[in-house]
Amino acid sequence: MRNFYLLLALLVFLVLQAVLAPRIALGSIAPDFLLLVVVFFALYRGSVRGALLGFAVGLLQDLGNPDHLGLNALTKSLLGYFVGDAGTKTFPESVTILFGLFAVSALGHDVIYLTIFHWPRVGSAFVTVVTAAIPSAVYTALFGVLVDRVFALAGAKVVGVFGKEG
Amino acid sequence: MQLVETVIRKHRDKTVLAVLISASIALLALPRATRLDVASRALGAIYLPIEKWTAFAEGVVAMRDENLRLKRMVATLMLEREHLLQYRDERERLRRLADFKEGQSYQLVPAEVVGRNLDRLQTVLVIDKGSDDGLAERMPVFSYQGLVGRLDRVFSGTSWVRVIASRNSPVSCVDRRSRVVGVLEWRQRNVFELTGVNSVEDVQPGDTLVTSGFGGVVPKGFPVAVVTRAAPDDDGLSLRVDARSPVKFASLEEVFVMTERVPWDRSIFYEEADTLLMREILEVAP
Repeated sequence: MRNFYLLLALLVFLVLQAVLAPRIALGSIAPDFLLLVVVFFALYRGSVRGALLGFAVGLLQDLGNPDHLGLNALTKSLLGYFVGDAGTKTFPESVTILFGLFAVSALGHDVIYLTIFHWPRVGSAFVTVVTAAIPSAVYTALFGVLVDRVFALAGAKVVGVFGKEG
Repeated sequence: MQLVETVIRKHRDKTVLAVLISASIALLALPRATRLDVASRALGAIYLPIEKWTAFAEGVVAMRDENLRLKRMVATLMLEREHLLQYRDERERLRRLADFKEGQSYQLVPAEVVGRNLDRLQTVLVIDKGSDDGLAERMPVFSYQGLVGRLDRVFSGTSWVRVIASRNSPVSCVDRRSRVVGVLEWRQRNVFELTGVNSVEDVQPGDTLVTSGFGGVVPKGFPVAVVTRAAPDDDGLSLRVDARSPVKFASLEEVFVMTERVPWDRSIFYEEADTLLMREILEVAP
């Protein structure tokens, strides 16, 4: 049953990414809802499951851009693993720390993604990181905090979707 | 072997990560043709059903407003059509007198957008028509507002549209008023820049940029963008021309693929319009 709810949550975030993200994008600056779902899941369920979901979500995203099939899978696996690893040590309760975690996760993900995407033109990757990735990370982090607040208001039922133990 | 098992058991998380990284790198290293094949198969199985439902839900919400808007548009177009028919006859008479080449119209295939690239670089749309419907690669794609892009990949039931609002999709354009030629390149959202224009040339805000037809992909004369700013560049030699496309690339739902050119007087649109008009009259009649 928990897996069914997880699939449902994934579908909701997928729809948000497909429908809402392009509409609220400011040029190349847009929130990454699929990154948020990986971060939330990894925080609640640890590094192994985080990495596995990251790979699956990334692969799903890559299907729309087969020229770089495997790139999102790689970056989101790493994201799920490292966020999950951090989450098992301490779960960030403070909004500021949570915002920082989302922003750093999104930025780290984009730095790896853009470096490989633009390789060997590292200069182009740097420009895109400065002009698009940093503002996008802040944008994504804002939505991350918003989603966390929604989860907090909805209580244990919604948190259970991601499987927080105890 | 036992040592490997012990290491894997002890470092389960790192082993999983290593396997996932290896799988990702293996996917990245696949030949392009295989990657496209894998993606198109998976796209059909996973993406399209989800996107179809999403598009359906969005469509239902937007239908009422769209219906009213279209009714107004139809009323206006029917009046305009009458004028156009008169112009067409007059034009044909004049063309015959001047011995001009026969005018041409275009065959358009309507298609629904059923998928978008979820990548933030947003370069590809998926439409629900493919080679079964007569589509082929490089065919131009339009919306009501103007040029959208061209077909990048065509499968039997779906196609990928590379939109002009993406990197590496320049369009050769000409200023409809002054006939100044330049290359329109995407900058962000629906903002473009017309490059290769000298500072002495006549481009002004409000001018419409239409396709030049030089590339051989898109026929000439189709609207692409409207100039919003034209000022000399820092070097004083060239003109910095900013333009805005009326097409809402992020929320496109229907597009038209231009499949072939047909002679103007054999255009199917007039017959279609007549059929629709007759049906309307018959339905209203007591």
